Amino acid sequence: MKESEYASQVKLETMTREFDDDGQPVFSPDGHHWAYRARRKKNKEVMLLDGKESAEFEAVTNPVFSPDSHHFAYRAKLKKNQEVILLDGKETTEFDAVTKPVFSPDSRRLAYFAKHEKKWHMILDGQEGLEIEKAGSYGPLFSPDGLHLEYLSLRMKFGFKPWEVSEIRDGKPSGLHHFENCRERSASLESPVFSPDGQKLAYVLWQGMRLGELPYEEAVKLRGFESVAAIPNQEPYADRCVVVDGQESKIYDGTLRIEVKFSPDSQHFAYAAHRHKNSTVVADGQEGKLYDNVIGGVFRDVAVGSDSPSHPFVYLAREGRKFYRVTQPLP
Amino acid sequence: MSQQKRIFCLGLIAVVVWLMPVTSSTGASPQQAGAGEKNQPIALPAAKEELLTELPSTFDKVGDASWMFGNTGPDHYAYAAKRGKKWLMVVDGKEGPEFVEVDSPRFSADGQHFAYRAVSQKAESAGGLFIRWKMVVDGAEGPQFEELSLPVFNPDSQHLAYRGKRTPATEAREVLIFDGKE
Repeated sequence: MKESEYASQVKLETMTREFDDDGQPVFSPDGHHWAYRARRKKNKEVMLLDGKESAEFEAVTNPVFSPDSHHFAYRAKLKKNQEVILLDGKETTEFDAVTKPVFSPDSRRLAYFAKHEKKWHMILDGQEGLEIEKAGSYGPLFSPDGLHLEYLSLRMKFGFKPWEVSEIRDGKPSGLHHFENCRERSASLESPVFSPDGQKLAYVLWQGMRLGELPYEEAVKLRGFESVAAIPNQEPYADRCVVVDGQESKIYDGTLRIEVKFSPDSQHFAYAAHRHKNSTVVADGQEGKLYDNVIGGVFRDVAVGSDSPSHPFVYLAREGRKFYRVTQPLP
Repeated sequence: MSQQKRIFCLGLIAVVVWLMPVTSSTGASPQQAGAGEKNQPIALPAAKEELLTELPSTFDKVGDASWMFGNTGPDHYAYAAKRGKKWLMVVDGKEGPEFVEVDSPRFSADGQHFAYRAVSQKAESAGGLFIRWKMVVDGAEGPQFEELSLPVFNPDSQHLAYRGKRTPATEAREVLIFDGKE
């Protein structure tokens, strides 16, 4: 198999074969409802919502509650490998494959990608829309105001050419970014997030350096790139590169999942990153002190003092045997 | 100065002039420049570092850690620590019971509750790996399982759920544990 075909197949499998997830329970945002996947006899699966079983399917996954907690959707695999989204217990249109469903912030709309006759389309409120370039694309993403639907498409150019990411808003190109630091093969895109005001978009580019050396079947069995990175003795594991508002960061180690956080006023961003067996917090694109480990971090949304900025980024850091609470003020 | 020397000197000056903007303006390669290279980033104010705790000398190693930094009330922290061949969870400086392994520390959103996974038994034989898990919630140990999902608190911190798998006699059985009940 050629490298390009291989990478493409791995990506499609990664997007569609997520039925072997951990299956941990999920709660609705209001905390009043809960759901989880359960396996029945003969390898059939059901989704339980507040303890009530769904019909049996070959597999079920990706349970999602709407933000107002009034609606519930999930993916199911039918016989003959067809897939379907169930919304409030009812089956929608069957497709060859579907991605994780996404509710709009006002809970009124539901979007996902679906494959039919080898083509991928955006499905919005049950209607087939824009044809999309699926390989390397991240699922649909609603803007915080719920008025726009965006998706990101990552193109890999083999050799020494950089990656490029297209931002598609409401079906029209809204941004195209070329990257210089993130330029290795076998790329993926994860964790896209809007700033609260919807003006900035952040995501993480991910490259698995040794993925191409694995047998194809083994790679897909490992649930995609992240698991591949976890294989021992595969140094260097993988790299991650953070993009905020179109600007790329340095390259960081892939051993730590990166989650970009925006301040409540959308003016600042920060994330924890790992490099050369050390961790640091990168705030507004600048690295802080290196520690042995940095654990998460939050923007405090209340003022901490009259002479301090109102949104410092606070995180836990370990250096040797000492744990610190680090408060990073932002200008 | 001979004609050849004059040409050499002029050439040398031209090369130096050609190189000067490159060395003075870049300073760092794209890999070194990082985010914000289009817009010069504003220097961050100095961070404030407060010592929360120090790993006692009786511990050999530290593992998974977690924190709960809220906007109100006190902050909480937890970490896994190894003493001899056993691991234990230390929550706000207080040691929990010893296990073979501990991982996945989780605070509820209000910081009032805390859960983590513990390996209570582990043995390797020709038949494979024998492993038994327990969920520890607010210090209380739950039932034993062969497999255990991560603990999940609901948003108002009032409930905890996780999934366990056990093989009673012939067939594997998965159960949901909701507030400690199967």
